Amino acid sequence: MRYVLRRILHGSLLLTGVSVLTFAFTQLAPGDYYSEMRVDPTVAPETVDALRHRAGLDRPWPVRYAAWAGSVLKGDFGYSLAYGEPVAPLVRERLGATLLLAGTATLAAWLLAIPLGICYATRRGWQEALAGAATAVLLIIPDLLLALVALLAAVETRWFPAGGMASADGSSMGVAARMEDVARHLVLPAGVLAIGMLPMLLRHVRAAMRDAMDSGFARSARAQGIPPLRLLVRHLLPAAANPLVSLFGLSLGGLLSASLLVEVIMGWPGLGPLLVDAIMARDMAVVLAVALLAAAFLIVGNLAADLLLYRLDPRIRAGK
Amino acid sequence: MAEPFLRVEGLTKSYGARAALRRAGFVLEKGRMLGLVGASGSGKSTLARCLAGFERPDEGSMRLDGKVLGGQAPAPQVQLIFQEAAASLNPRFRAEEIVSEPLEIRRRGTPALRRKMAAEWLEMVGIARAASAKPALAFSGGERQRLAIARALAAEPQLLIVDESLSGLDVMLQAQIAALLADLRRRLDLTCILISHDLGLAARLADEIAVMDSGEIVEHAPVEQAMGSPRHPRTRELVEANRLLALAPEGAA
Repeated sequence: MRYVLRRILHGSLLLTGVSVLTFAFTQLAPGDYYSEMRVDPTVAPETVDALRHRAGLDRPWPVRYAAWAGSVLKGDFGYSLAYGEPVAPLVRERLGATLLLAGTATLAAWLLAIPLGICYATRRGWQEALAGAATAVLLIIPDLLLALVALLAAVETRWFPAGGMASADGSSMGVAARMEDVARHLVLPAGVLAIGMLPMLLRHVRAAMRDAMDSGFARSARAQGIPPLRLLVRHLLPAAANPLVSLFGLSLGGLLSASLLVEVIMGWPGLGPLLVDAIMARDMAVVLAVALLAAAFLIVGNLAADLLLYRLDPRIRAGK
Repeated sequence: MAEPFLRVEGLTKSYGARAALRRAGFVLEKGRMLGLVGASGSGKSTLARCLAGFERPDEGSMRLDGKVLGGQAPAPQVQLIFQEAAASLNPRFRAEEIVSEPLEIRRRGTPALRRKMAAEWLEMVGIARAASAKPALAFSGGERQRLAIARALAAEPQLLIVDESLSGLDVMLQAQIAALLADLRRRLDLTCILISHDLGLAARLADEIAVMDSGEIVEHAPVEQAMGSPRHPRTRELVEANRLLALAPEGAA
């Protein structure tokens, strides 16, 4: 319990540090939300100054940071100048879509990576070389290209909807039909994301399994005549779990950031399009909120991985 | 003439161009302990791994109690106690789980009976019942050796191979484990192969000595003969080295 409390305290301090740095970096970018108005001849400079003053943009950045931090603590996460409302509801309504997409893709990638990685670890010779080449090819293909190919395939085949999260008539559907509709829209972006994650996960699962298979106790367990399935479940998988649990923590931490690009390309109404629009408009409160949320996910993901490791590995409990 | 309990004939094993075993062969009767000695790289561990089924020999045959050894998988009737006992124990397992697993895979009794049997094996190697719930990593180096021995015995092996398991231990622990092995052998009528580069240790524990050199068994004789009137030059070198090491330091009382 003390360990958890200590980690929560560390996480809070880290989050505060991240918020200060992120805020400072956003201030380094030239211009602000009203900069474009200055080049508009129909808007008087005095008007722009008045708007900036009303938004508090003419105050020193530490003062603005303090105001923003107060707003975060209140749960508003700042005020979006572009949308004219607090950031929290804007993020909240898109957060679910992002988590649905990234969560599904992460789950699918892990469910594929574990059995395939185990299989990969046990293969030698040409099968190993073939699997190595396939993962290398997948690793160098950017998500952007995969997404574009998926969109092209969707348009050509019409097997799956090409973009969006629901059909135009989705709101008139029943609950089951709506769920099916969302699931159909989910297949392509989640598939693209999962394929993007898969090679890296596969290589980690393989490496962890190889380490476990080559360990002294695995060799000794084989000498006992332990059947392969039992050897895998009781000895190898728990031994391979440590690096994979840490990686899983990073996967959880990356849930918010992993899908942003794919969301933008495939028209998924998550945080990705919101963030891109906010960056283009220099709507910094939204950018800060998304960055802070992503950092919070990363910290929570790591904490979850550490707690899981603490639970799974007696050596960590013993402090060895 | 009756077939010997263990017969190894013409065992050959190469790794690329390097020959690890060259037509190695010996026989061992039930209940006897063979001390397999030789310099590093002489082929002792390769021979042990072939017997335990970790390696497939290129040529030759191995028969234990009339049955052929040397299939695709490790042979559970031959138990190998590795040099690195600590690494051979799953650190996530408790002592009781480590020892009861061989019983479990052989479906010996109920879980409660297996726990009881595991505790008995642990007591037999000198680990108290109360310690059976401790994880492997909580034990000292010597205790882990004992755990590894208990696990090997729980598998009810026909042949126990102790591969340099005493080498990494300090003198006190080495003496304790050697005494334990001698005691277990007497009580359980075990057939053993003790692999060691220490001829003196092998001579104290074993009934027979086989000397390996460059993958061959160059001499195989009862301990008294091997130590008293060695025939092969390699054996003579080992006996002489052992005699020099056994000499008391100059000036000692």
